[in-house]
Amino acid sequence: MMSSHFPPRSRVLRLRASRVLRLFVIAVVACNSRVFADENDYYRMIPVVTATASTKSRSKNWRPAPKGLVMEVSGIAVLDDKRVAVAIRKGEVWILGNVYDDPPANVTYKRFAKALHEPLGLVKKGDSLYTAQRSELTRLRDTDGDDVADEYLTFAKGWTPTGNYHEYAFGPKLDPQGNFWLTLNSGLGVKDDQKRRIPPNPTKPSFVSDQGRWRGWGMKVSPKGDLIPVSAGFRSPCGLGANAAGDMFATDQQGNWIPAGSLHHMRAGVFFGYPDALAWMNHPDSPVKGIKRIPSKRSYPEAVKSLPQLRPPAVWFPYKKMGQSTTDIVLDNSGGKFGPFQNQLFVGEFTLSSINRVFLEKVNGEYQGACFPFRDGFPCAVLRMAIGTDGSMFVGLTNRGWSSVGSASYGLQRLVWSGKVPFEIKEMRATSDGFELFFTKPVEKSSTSNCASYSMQSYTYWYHETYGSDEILKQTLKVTNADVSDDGMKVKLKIDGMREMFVHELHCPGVRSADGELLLHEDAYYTLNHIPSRKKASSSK
Amino acid sequence: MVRKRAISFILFVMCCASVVLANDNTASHAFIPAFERFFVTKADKSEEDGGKLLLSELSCTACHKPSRDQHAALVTPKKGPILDGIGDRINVDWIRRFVIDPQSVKPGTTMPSMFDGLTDEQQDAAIEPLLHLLMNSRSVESQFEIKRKSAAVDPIRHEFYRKGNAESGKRLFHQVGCVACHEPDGSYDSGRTYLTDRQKLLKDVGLTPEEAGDKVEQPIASVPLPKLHEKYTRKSLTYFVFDPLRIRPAGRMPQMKLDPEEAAHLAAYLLRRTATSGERGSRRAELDSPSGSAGASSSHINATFKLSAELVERGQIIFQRIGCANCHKLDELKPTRFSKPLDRLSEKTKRNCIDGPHPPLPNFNLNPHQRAALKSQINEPGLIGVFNGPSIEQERVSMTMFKLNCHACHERDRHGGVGPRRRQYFETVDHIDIGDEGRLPPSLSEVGNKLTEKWLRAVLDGTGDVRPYMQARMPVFGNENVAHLPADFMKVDPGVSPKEAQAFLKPRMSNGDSEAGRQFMNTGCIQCHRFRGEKLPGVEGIDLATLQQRLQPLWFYQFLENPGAVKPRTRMPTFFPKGKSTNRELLGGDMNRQIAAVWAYLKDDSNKRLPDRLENEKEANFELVPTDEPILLRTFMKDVGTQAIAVGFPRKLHYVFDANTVRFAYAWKGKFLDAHSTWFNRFIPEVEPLGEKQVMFPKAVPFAVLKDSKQPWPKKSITDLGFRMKGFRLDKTGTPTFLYGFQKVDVEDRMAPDKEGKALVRTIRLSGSGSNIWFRGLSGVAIQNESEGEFLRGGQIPMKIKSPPTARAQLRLIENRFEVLYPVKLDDGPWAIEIEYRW
Repeated sequence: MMSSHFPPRSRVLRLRASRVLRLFVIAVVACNSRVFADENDYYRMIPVVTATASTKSRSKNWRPAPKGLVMEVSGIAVLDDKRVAVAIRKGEVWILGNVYDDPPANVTYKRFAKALHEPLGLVKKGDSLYTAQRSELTRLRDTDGDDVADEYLTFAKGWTPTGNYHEYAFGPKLDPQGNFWLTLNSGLGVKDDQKRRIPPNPTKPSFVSDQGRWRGWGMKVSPKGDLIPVSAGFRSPCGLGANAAGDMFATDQQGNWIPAGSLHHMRAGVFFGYPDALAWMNHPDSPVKGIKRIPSKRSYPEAVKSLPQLRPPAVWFPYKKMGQSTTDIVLDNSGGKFGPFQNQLFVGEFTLSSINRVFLEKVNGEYQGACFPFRDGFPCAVLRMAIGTDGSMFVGLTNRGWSSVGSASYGLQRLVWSGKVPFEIKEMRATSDGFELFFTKPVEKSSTSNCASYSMQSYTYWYHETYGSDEILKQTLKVTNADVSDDGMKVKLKIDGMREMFVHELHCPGVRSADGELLLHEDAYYTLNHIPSRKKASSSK
Repeated sequence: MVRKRAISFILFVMCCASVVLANDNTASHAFIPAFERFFVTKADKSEEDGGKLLLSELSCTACHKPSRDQHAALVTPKKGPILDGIGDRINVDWIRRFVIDPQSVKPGTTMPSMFDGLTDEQQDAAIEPLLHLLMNSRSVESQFEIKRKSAAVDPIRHEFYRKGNAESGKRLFHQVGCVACHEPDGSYDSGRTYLTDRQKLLKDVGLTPEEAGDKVEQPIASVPLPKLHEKYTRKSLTYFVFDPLRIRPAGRMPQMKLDPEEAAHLAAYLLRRTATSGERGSRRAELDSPSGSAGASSSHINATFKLSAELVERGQIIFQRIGCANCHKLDELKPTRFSKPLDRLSEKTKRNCIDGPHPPLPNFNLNPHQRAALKSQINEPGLIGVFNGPSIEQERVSMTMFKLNCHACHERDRHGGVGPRRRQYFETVDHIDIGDEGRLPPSLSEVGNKLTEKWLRAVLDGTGDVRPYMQARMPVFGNENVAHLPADFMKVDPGVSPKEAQAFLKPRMSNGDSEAGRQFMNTGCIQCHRFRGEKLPGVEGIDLATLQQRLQPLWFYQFLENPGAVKPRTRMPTFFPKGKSTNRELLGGDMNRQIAAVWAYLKDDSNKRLPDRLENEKEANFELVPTDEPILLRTFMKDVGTQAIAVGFPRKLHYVFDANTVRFAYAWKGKFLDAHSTWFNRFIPEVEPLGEKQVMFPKAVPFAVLKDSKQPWPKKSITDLGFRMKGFRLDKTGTPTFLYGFQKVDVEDRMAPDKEGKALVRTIRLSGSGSNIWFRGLSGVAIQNESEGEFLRGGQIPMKIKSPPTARAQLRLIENRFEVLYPVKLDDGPWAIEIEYRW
């Protein structure tokens, strides 16, 4: 029945294509069975506090574990080489002892403060701890030396908590001048009683809806306690932190008007895009001035052009690829004890329970730079980080109110560098015609100078009221030249078609180190707000 | 040719040997789990049933159609995987080797060899076009993404399929139920040894199974795993194990309810396992999606395959002509050729698919048992329409359970159940010990008498999971494959007719007293069972909230009456030994009324009050009960606002201070507060005090500068009046002193219960400078001066000035309200006043 079904033989196929192809495919498979370097080989997690409550934090039946201290970490202040102070979501500060032990078998717990209204940050200054509550910046002091706070002093207040759930107050973080910095969430769906709690605001621009005072702002508090509004336009600026130069940054999270996670340099008078924050623009203390209307559905570069007060973030964190919700910012000031990334920033990621790394440079007087994946696989959302006295990083976890990958709903981890240098792109710098990559280890020259080892695309986002944004105006860019330095620590990539204000996403799957390693993370995302001029690029060498 | 024959002969011998061993993973004949288990030795099942099973599992009926009077449903062809998108899923070289020699590349496959006995040139001529056809089908898969309902609630990591952890995958493989069918990994250690209840018993009495006269159970052969790393990428295998039904709708490999991350772990483990003979040193040798090409954000498998349009077209012709289309869906290529109908086949046909290879007929690589079983069907094709059991339902249930290998986990009518070597892998969460029923999938004997049809449907569609303590998961087999089961079970199983059941239950279970049921639950059921998600500490049992949706009343009655009789060795205790209730008080100790009461209480109604102990347990988690020192809670509070600081005292007098308007807002007695909404509700609704006898303090600031006692109390905002909140200080007893100020005055304001816990005593100290300052103690529509320094407001809150006794209070009526004012003097240093509130 089926004997005559085969069509006549093709001459082409007499080449025994099957055998040839088989060999070829085997070769491809062999060279692609990559040795998977493991982040854990370089940065090891040591659980200091492990969650004992098993229910998901969003569960209706959520309950703490029996007698369990629910260590939903919302702030970390390093005290000394034995102890850290930890703020937790339900409103307490705990002092944990023996936290540097490995394994931390004898952690001690002492409650330092209580009755705080969702504190979302903690720093030590002088003899006091400072934390932002929903309605005020509070100074906590222990005056009788029993390690329990007996003074809860209102250090600064003046923003409005209307009672809207979304009005989180984050911080503080300190700058080198001793100022405290805070970020204040915008309310979402402020209504009824909440509206009635807003102080009279007769100069509110008509194009924004009601918000409590200074909601959506980055704030500075002087060492004396004066509250100073700095920049407007945050939606949910969940983390802040200073870089090595002492400039203060804050992150924002994807949502309406905010197309993707972002890192902003807070400076006076700048607007970061969330319109409701402009409700208090005309207040006498506001340094942001003169915004008459908000552009509707423009690409980000166009929006920035039409609205000069609007400044793009120094770094975009492309959605999903680099997380879904940026959190805390911490500077590696460990003097090399945390690995090869001295003076770089680390940014926490909530939903995907990870930490990313940021390199910043100043071009045309403004910060911009690249973000890189750093460490994945925390058991819960990363909300807070702090560098310990030994150069390890404390990582505070909680996913209350949202969700995150991983198995736990809270915890405290310590991330310790193993001493082994991972093969990573350490820095990605923009040049007038491409990018320079600085590596943590010498590279193998033939793979690194091969243009086929790289791929790049660029895109931007919508500036619009919709929640999030696709990557738009996407282009694939060609790496036309890859020039490796003599010491093998650097490669200069020539790129055709770079665009200002666009994210430039780079992949380097083919690059190998001199030892034959693949990059631990082969992707990098550079936010190219400014293309350096030719002259500047050469002077930076 | 001769060489090939010789090889197949050797393979044949080998596969016979493997059947004898019944345990060998390299079995190179078509492997049908239920056939291996039940039809190789004829003790259990008839050869005819085995033949019927093979007609379906080998998809014979995809080409040989059953006739109209045969029960086609029993021999529905299983068919092969859907091939749409295969170019993005499966390595082309693997496919090439597979179609040339299916059994050696994927041992146990039911895919027949289509090209046995052809010359290499003939093979190439057929296979190359087919490969081009397959490689042409890519877009379906590359566009497919695992999507969750909400990226926020169910987040997945970017390229999660590259981030699987093989060790986690190994744990999943042994926990969720994969090892019911597939070979366990010798190196896996769950960290605990599980014995069955029977094994435990024998161990306790010191007998070997032989001595106890137990039948020695035969190990069950495993469904072989091919070299997955040669076939899949991390992505395509992750996507496959996440939802096998998308590719293989026949459900023989069911969907294990893995979340995407779990699927990635499992894929990572499987790739590692099949890539390395041993486990050692293999952690890093994992196949990644071929990289080196642009983007690296998707896997570019088969990227180097150069398509020829001409060969794709030729491939289409071959695909339909040789019968691929009869079993595989690809694009719109419908089957065009069918062979002789089932009932016209004859055993006497020399060239057939059973004895193969008989090129160009497909060769199914069968072993002698399978050949015999198939021939028994062909000899008497009429048998297909004749049932062995009493009914078509009976036969359908039994065939479906064979086809889907339900017996790998479930025993029914003394057949099947988890195999002896595999039971140890069935664990409980955290290794809690609740007997075999806590870890092994339940028996399905008489399941039609136990579960409701609706719940059976829920179990099969994947929404009926009720055993949170069991690691093994009930897989989803695909609605098409199991839709008939619930009704069939109902029909096949009833031991008692609905009428009889009704007659039995009516006098016993009607008009139950729901409230009594709630009390019965309180002393009995909730000791071990969850209820509406609530549970006592340490409790693990099934949540009873869905009980009425799940269970038939007669089964429920009989199970409660005597659990052991319904479910041997169950941990469910007998509450009614010899028909007598252990609870003599409730409903006169009447068993029937008590069972009826519980049944009535469990009628699905989430508004019913929880059993008291659960209610208490729930509150205990979040109710703040001051014991040895005051409790402070800063929160959103009703009638106070967003800056409330509530203070609760062990003496059961409590108050709330408003840090926004710097004043005490109100006080109350009894219970303090429930902190659940403050701590754990995302939308933080305002807290209301739990206690009673609430009394209000004046709504405005307590101090003002007045020209004279005729000036009304100012109504301006506190900032306009120059007030500022400065915090609070805790003293040794943990009692706060609130700190605030106005103009050049600092205020310390403290309030705490007196020793008897009958009154709140408030001490206010002012320091700084200022004149014409007044303190307002009370305001209201009706205030009377009872005695010197004692005032009553609205008959509710008596206020008494305790010191300084010389303070001269003034009662005034202004703007239709009474107010009690005191002049403040700061000229001679700090000024203080002590007030007592007693109500």
